[in-house]
Amino acid sequence: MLISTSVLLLSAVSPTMATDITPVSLATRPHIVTLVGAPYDWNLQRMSIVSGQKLADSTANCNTATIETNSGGKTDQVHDCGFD
Amino acid sequence: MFVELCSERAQPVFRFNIDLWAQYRFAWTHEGFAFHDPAGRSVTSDSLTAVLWRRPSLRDCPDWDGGSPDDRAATEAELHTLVRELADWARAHGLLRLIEPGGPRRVGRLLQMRIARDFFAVPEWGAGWGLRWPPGRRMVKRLTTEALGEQRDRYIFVQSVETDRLSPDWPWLVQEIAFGSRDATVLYVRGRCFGFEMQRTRAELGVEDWRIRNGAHKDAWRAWSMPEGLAGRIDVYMTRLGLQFGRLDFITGDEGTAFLEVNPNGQFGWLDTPGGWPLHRAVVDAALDPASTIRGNEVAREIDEPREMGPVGFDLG
Repeated sequence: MLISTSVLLLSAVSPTMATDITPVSLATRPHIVTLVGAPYDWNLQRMSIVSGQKLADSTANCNTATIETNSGGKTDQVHDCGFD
Repeated sequence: MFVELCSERAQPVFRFNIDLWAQYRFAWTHEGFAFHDPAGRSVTSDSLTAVLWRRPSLRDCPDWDGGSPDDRAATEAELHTLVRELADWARAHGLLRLIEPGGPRRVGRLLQMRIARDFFAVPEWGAGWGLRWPPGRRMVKRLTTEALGEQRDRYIFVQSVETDRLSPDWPWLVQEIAFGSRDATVLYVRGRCFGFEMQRTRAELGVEDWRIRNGAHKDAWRAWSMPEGLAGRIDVYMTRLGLQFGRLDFITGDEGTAFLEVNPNGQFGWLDTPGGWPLHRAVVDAALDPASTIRGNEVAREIDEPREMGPVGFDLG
């Protein structure tokens, strides 16, 4: 359980140490991304029913750029859905 | 998918992909604006009847290598501002639907967690600087998703640390580690809740948070039978936040269900069922319903009833 605001502020602050965690020390690159450069299919914008459409073919809520991910030692190419 | 579902409803639709902006032609004068796309389709401001604003992102933008990095940064800033202006135009004309572009800013993490305590179990949290956090392992979160580093290519993902090691010189948001073992998420669309949970537990995945996994969308999710009453509480909670749309994250386990966060413009495509597309259909149905119009006066109500007049807390001396 975190202690109260007043206790946190009233507690003496020990001096900064070289081993303290800073924001940058927690930062990582999100994933290995290589743009494939596949052209966008503008026909997806047309009013036609596309049968058998797979999720990754839909750019409705993903970046239209195709990216290459490195997952478990294997690569695959997907649209970047930018997980929240 | 939205285009396909609109076609089923004989609803004309035009999409502006901001990451392919250079392939469109665009003009905006006092008479209005018009887009032309490479397929020969076009749309004008006076023909629009509804606007759905998703997550415009220029990250990994293809087919545009011109200019210096400074030119590019300046242009991206202009484009982001322009799409904000488009959203403002749509709102001012009563055409903006379902998703509030400023939602993530208006409904920040701290506000979410404060109001969520009225409805869900919420792990204790604290934010601040100039202090030494008490010993113990806790989660560190960010209040924003801003990138770090000279290349702006690094992020601080949710992770656990020994909080007494956090430098007092920086602002931090820390939270007790939630009970529970399995991630769950709920897509909320104007009163409708669609629940999903990961098939594998965090321990089985070997992660503290599934969102840091490469190719996380490949992990298996399954429909989640939400605990009794949870959907109703989510509906009231989202109403209190003034949101009609969002994706809420929870963690579940033997001890119950704990609230983690809500994203007011969250992704959901990978959760949907091919063929029926119930999530996309729900979003399209809601976006085409004038009742989902974003008025611009949405507010979060932190308390149900206004406080009675008490001592005024200002020192004007």
